[in-house]
This record gives sequence, structure tokens and C-alpha cells, in this order.
Amino acid sequence: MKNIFYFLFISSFSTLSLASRARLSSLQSQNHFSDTENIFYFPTKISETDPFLQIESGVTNSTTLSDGAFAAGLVTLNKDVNLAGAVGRQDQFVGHERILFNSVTSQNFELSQNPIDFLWSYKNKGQIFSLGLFYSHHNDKLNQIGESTQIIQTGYRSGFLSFALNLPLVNDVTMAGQKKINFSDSVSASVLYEIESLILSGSIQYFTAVQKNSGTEVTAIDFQNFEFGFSDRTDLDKSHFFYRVDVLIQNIKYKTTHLKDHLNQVPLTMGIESEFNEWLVLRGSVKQTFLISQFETAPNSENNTQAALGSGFKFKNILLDATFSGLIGSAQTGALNGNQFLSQVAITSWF
Amino acid sequence: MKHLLMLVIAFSFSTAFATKARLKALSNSLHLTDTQTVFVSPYHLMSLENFVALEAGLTTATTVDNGAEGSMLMNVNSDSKIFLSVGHLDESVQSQRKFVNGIAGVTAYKTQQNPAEIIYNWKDGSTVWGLGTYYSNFNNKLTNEKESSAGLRLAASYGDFKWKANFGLVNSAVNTAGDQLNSDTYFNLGLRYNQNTLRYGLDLTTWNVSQTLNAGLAPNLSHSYQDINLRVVDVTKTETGEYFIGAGLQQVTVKDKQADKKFNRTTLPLILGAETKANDWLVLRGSITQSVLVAQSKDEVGYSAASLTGATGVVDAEFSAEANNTAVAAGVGVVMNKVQLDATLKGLTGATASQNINGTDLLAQVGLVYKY
Repeated sequence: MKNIFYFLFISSFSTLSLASRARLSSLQSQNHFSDTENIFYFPTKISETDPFLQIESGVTNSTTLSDGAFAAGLVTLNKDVNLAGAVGRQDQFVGHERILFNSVTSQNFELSQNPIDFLWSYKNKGQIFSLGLFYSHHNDKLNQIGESTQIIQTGYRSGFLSFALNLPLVNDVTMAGQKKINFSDSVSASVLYEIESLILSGSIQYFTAVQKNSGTEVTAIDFQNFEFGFSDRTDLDKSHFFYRVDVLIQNIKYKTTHLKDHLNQVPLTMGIESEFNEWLVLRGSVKQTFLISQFETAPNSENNTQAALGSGFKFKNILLDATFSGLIGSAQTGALNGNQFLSQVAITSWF
Repeated sequence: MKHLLMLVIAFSFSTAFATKARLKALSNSLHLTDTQTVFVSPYHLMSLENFVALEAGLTTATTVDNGAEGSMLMNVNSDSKIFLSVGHLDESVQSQRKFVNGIAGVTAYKTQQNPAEIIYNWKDGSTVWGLGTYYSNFNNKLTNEKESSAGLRLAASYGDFKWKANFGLVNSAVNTAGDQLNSDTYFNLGLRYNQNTLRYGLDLTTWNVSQTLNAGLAPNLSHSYQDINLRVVDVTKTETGEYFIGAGLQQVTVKDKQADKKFNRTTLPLILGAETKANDWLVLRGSITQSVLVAQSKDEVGYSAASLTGATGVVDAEFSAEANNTAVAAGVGVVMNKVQLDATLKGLTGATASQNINGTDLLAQVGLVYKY
């Protein structure tokens, strides 16, 4: 078991294991890559990742999970214990909860303010245990605006299986006009089964959110999200390609109006990543639902084909990742020029 | 600094060996075999290396060449291959929808939504067979806007002789006004023959399309389209690439069945082009097309330019020799090991080319192909 574990560890950290949000954006943000971002999804990955320091460019007041500035790092305390942390990074689960709530209720509640995240992992006889804490707090007493977030993050890996469990303890936001939302019964759990290039993944997220204006309940929603993924990767000399099929099931129940939304989708993703030389990596992917794409109240089965291209530049132990801004996103121009070149730039130093 | 300089050079000239960008830069010449030509000539698959191809573009594509798409070719065994594609808008569907959307007063119909396609190729002795199908479906139950398409492809290659048949089996759409578009038959038959450096091609394409208004029982629009296109191209291989010269004779007839009026256009387009390796990693390509000697059209209906090439929107417009239609296209390809990045040189391509290669008008229609 121990040998298998170390084999997995080595094989999952190939020369193409660059990092950053830009890399994952170019590859459709899939969780089957060995990447610095994945330590926040599966904290046990801390024990499978080399020490690094990463700086992501972005805005100070982020409104999405992909536009904020942050820094992250990982250090090895000894051969069995690793520590990781992040400053400014939005937690993907709580951030997703707030963005989704804002989206379905047309509100503008803020994301976590000045967040910090600490993660610890311990490796013992082929097993990995991890524990983390995410914290943020903001309180503008004059304008009565603020938010609080506290999340316990846990992880466990044994052999081919990795688990992650996130338990938000506090998740409250207040905005002007005495509007307040409280997220409760919130939980997200994920599992990853990795055997060589084959990866199966699953995740469940659930929360209840209640918005009160001046103490009066105006909106309450229950949210459930189930995701199951299957991916396979083919590694060739200094390059690889992958395909992935997911099944997404999402249910939203509006408790105030007794309306419901359902989303069922089966997206297919294909991607490539290849080293041109010792300093340049090109990557790209395309994602689209096929056969099943249903959503009750919006034309969700409309075209959702998205191509994304990006690059990575290696300078000794420094990696600079970026997306090609003209070649990413649903409204891309298809152009690669001086005005639309690199975006979402991140620098990662491995040591 | 050296790295940055190389990077600037590399991205200042990019376009390549496959993809929409390559086809555009070479004016869709008859002789090309490419990741994009497999859709209309499925027998091409067996002559291509396995690949993953990504085309940058819009999620909400409005034409056959501005949408994002991806495809993959893989071996099933030594004598067969399978090709999968998502996002590709097919001309057997889009031709009719573009035509109807270009008619004055029509509320726009959607393009294909989230299309998927699969093509299977297999070798039987010296014969290569191709069989494929595509599908798309969209139904917005809130607004009742819909679209649906399905088609079938058959093709075979016997040495220097090849044929292909593309059938549009389903092509229907309902727009936001509740009007219904139907195109019950699309048929394209293509014959190809290679003789030394010469490539011959004959294509016959026909389709019918009609529209029935929301409140109507019978169609208020009904049109038929026929295109006969005979082409020949002489391809000369050189040490670093190839150049080609060709000509064609194309006759397009469109009939407004309800008004019993026709649009006829006959042209003899000339094509010149070249593709060459500048060095190990850079490919340059370009082409020019223009009608010569024969460029005649008569339009009793007054079809719009958005509906038909050569139409002007003027009833009874007639040209015994048309105005300028000279168009140059240029592109580059950067070959990086197994990856090829293709693009058109934006400032040098199309009817309104700025004639610039600079930071603003540089690369467009970028595609990435990974061969394995």
C-alpha cells in the first residue's frame, strides 16, 4: 500500500504540474489536476505537493471566485507534516453560496473580506489526515455593513481514495438597508478516486439561506448540488490530453414562494497541455453539455460551448501562468494581439 | 529578455496546420485535408494523425466560423478511427438558417445549440469508409423558442477517387415570435478525383426551406436552393511547402416558390495560394480569390446580401459582370512540438483588411491542435 501511495504521489506530480487559477481556467477548472489550487478542494493534497509560494493577480474587491488577488503558500515542517495557507483567497464553497444567492435574488451581498486560510496535513503509514480553518470578518459600524465567515476544513486520504469535508460554522452577511443573510445547515463533501490516469470524483453541497430585511424574512432558499465526474488522461512526452464527463444535478427550493429550480447537465470536457520547450507551456480546453442540459426557468440548453486557452512560462523555479484574454470566456474575440494577450496572471515559486 | 523576445516573435506570427484559421487563410481550397474538412469529407479521417483540436470562439456563435468548438480523433484499432466533436455548427443546417434570417421581416432563428457529432472511419482493403451523424436540440419551455437538427454523413475513398454524401435529416426551429422554420431536405453530393498534381471536385448541394408564421397554417415563405460547383486545383509541392492555382465554375439557383421568381448566379472564381515552412516552428500561408471572365447574376426576388452571396437586396438586379470581389487571406502557424497554434493575420484577411500587422490587428480565429 505504501509503495502504491508513493507511486501515486510521484506520478501525480509530473513536469506539467504547473499551478494557479489561470492554469485551471485554461483547463476548465477541473479537479483532476495536480495543482496548487486543489489543496483547497482536497486538503490532503498538501502532503502531495512540493513547497511553493504563489501570488495571484486580481482586484482588491473581488466579486467572483476568479477575479480576486491572493497569495498562497505551502511549507514542509518535517517529512510527515505540511502546512499551507492563503491570504485573500475566497473559499470556493462559501463564496459559491453567496454568489449563487446574489444571482438568484438579484442582491449584492459581499464576499469574504480579507480572508485567511490555514491548512495542516499529517502523513502516517500511507494515510493522510488534514485539518484547516478559514476565517474572515468585516464590520463597518457606521454603515452597518459586514460579514463573518468561519469554516472547518477536513480531509482524509487512504490509498486511491481522498475525502474532503467542509463545515461552515459561521456564514453571515449584512448589507446596507438592514439586509442580512444567514447561511445555515451548510455542508460540502467531496470524494476523489485516483488510480493512475483514471479519476472519479463526486461532491455534494447543501445549504439553507435566509434573507431578512429589518428583521423580516423576505427570502429563504434551500440549495442542493450533486456532481459526479469521470476523467481519463493520456500522458505523452512532455504533454498530455484528457477528457472528462460530468453529471451535474442542482436543486433550488424557494421556501418563501414555494417555487423550485432544477438543473441537470452532462458536460463533456476535452483539454491538452504541452511543453513547447523548457520554458513555455501551452494549454487549452473546450467544454460543452451534450444530450442532457435541462433547466426549468432559463434557456440553459442554449449553446454553452466554451473554449479556453492559456500558457505557462517557466523561469528556473518561477512559474508564470496566464490565460489568453482574447481566447477565453463566452464572449471571446478569438484574437491574440497586443490588446488581448495575457490575463489572470499568477506567479508561483517552487522551492 | 531572450525568452521574452522569443515569445513576442512567436506570438507575433501565428497560425498553422489545421483548423478554421488555416482553411480561411487558404480560401477553403479543394485540396486541403484538415481537422475541419473531416466534417464534410469524413474519409479524410484515416489520413490524419490522431489529434485534439480546440477552436477559440464565442459561446453564442452566430455563424459557422465564429463559435468555440473542440474535437478529438482516436484509433479504435489499426483499421478504424473514431472522431468526436462538440460545438461545431454544420453548414448543412446553418446555410438554411442564415438564409432565412437574412430575409427582411424574419425574427431571427437560433443557430444549432450545443451540437455534438461522431464520425467513424474504417479501412476495407484499399477502401476507406466514413459514416457519421450529428445532433443538436434546444427547447426553452419558458419562451417556447426551439431548435433541432440531425444529419447523416456517408463517404468513401478508393485510391484517387472519393465520394461523399451529407444528408440533413432534421432542421427545424421556432423563434421567439412563435414562427416555425422547416428545412426538410438538405443534400450534398461531392465527387473527388486526383490525377497527378491535379485535384478535381464536383459538388451538388440542394435544400428547401420554409417558414410558417405563428398564426398561420400554411408557409408564408418557401424557397429552394441549388448549387453546382465544379473545381480543379493544381497543387505543386516544394521542399518547404506547396503552392496551388485553381479555378471553378459555380452556378447557384435560388427559387422563391411562392412568388415563382428566381435568383441565378454563375461565377468562375480563380484561386491562388501558397503555404510554406519559414523555419522549424513557423508556417506562413496566404491566398487570393477573385471571379474572372464569368461573373453574372440576375435576381428577380431581391434577396439580401445577408442571405445570399452575390445578392444585393435590389429586385431585378442584374450583372453581366459583377463588381470587385477580390479577397486576400493570410495566416500563420506556430508548430511547438506536438502542438500547433494557428491563426489568421487579422489585418491582412477579409474584404475589409486594414493591411496592418501590428499589436491591434494581429492574430484572429485562433485554433490549437495537439497531435498524438
